[in-house]
Amino acid sequence: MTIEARHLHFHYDNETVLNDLSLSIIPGEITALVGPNGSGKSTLLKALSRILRPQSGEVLLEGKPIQSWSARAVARRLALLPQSPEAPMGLSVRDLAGYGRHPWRRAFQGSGPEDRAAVDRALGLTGMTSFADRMLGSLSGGQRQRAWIAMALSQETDVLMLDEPTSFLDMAHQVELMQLVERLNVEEGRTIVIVLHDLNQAARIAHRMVVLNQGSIAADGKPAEVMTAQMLRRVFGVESDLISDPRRGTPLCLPYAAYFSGPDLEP
Amino acid sequence: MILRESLRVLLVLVIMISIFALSLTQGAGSADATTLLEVLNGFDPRNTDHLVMRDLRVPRALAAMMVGAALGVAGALMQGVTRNPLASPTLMGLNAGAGLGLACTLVIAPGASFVALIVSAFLGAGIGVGLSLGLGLAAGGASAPLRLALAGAAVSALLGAIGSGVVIVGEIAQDVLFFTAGGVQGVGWDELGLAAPWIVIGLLIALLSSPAVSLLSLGEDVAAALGARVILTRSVAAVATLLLAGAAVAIAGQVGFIGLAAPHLARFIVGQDYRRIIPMAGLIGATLLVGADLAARTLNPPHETPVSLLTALIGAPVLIWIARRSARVL
Repeated sequence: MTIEARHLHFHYDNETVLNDLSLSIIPGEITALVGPNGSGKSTLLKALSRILRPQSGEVLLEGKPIQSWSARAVARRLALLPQSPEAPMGLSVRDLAGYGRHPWRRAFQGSGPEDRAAVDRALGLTGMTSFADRMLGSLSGGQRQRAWIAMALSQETDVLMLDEPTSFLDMAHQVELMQLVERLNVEEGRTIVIVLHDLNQAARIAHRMVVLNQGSIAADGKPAEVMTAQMLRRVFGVESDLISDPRRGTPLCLPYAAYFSGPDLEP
Repeated sequence: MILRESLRVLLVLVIMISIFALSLTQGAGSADATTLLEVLNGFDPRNTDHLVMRDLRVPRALAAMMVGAALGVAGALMQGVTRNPLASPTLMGLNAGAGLGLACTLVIAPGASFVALIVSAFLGAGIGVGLSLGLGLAAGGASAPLRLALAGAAVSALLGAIGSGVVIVGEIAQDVLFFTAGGVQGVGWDELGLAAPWIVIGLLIALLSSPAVSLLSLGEDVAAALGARVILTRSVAAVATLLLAGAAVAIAGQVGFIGLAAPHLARFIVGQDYRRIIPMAGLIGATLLVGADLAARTLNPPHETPVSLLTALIGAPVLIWIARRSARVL
């Protein structure tokens, strides 16, 4: 499954969000999209998944413009979990996961054995089997997030796109979620595109880090190449020390000073 | 669980059929169950009871059923599409628009027929919805449901104020009373024939769009990512809402509360899937209004008790009970 963005441009009224952005996602890899607030990460993810149509440029899915695919055909190949989604609190975990089967069945068709198997697998992968009949309203934030991921997994797509899945989760749930993402990549061979706020988390799990700044790609490459003091200063406006993760050898950044107004006012 | 759910659905069906039967056989006058059986066996045009049954009771009960179903389904559509549990047809400027259309027609043509009034109320409702949608969705974007709710509230207030002005200046307060009190008294076969096709079309569209509405209730980005066509679904739901609630308000005036309460009652019975909520909200809406209309005729005969008063009296306690029982479900 190849996904390629060519010269994407997107703006609201007079605010440019994506500026001539080109990127091609490498199948089988975990690609982490990072960048300061408002740098266009979520917008890029939506454009890559056909939810948002850029004003110019195009996204190619398997070499064909993504707008020429039907929404349903895209949803069979690519699952997107938006940032902090909300569902009716009275929905059960199993029902939510079952919605992921929508692209695979006709509108009024009930769930068949394949659908039930996919939902069970998704619940198993996310550790939600024992919560299957609980209502979303009765779950903790971490459990609820896992229920949502179960929905995206039951779509059984090659590509999984996650928009800040760890925000609002406590530390244990964040680590657990990162482990799940790695497992999905390693054991199931899924291509993953993930927006992350935490650069260290991104550096730890990603094969490739794409740094966005003001709608353009500021850096792109292996975490060790991308995470440099200079990039952190230029893009994030922080001065930081970089050390090596004792367990994995990936770069860890320890910011110690920030410029509130951004790098323009650098001393 | 599945058995319990189908039992509950069955129970609602039985209640609805019983209330419908009661509605045909009870009321002022001597027409009763025997009359109904006689009419079914062979209509006698010289028998007053037969005439009462055919020309008053049956169309009235059918109208109550259709209007109730229309309001329940319209409410369910709106709550699903806007993801606002407080959404109801009154929210989109529908009732206020219909009232204004009616008032204008009454002032311009004081002797206008009931049919003309129905048409003008429907057109007014259309203008109200059109304005709300136009203002609410003009800019598009993620906050569309919220903007739509605000635009609907503003349009309702504006059209309502203009309507009240027309009523005062035109001195037609007495003439619009039937509209503000709401109810299906005076609805005969002609009026029913005028509204029924729109309601039936609206119900069909609502049922066909129910899977997409279900997806939309997860939020528009999630729905789009699952392959739903968000804008199409929203437009189709808006058209269905207009047909349903517009036709309902045109023949029955302002019948409050059913559009709000029926979807919640339906959710309580069948869960969160709009493929089931929508038909169930129709069934419950029909039951509520047929019941309210029956009560309106029989509480204080020969006077009619305003139906909108009764729908609130029946619906409010039930809704409060559900809210208390399952605060997390709403």
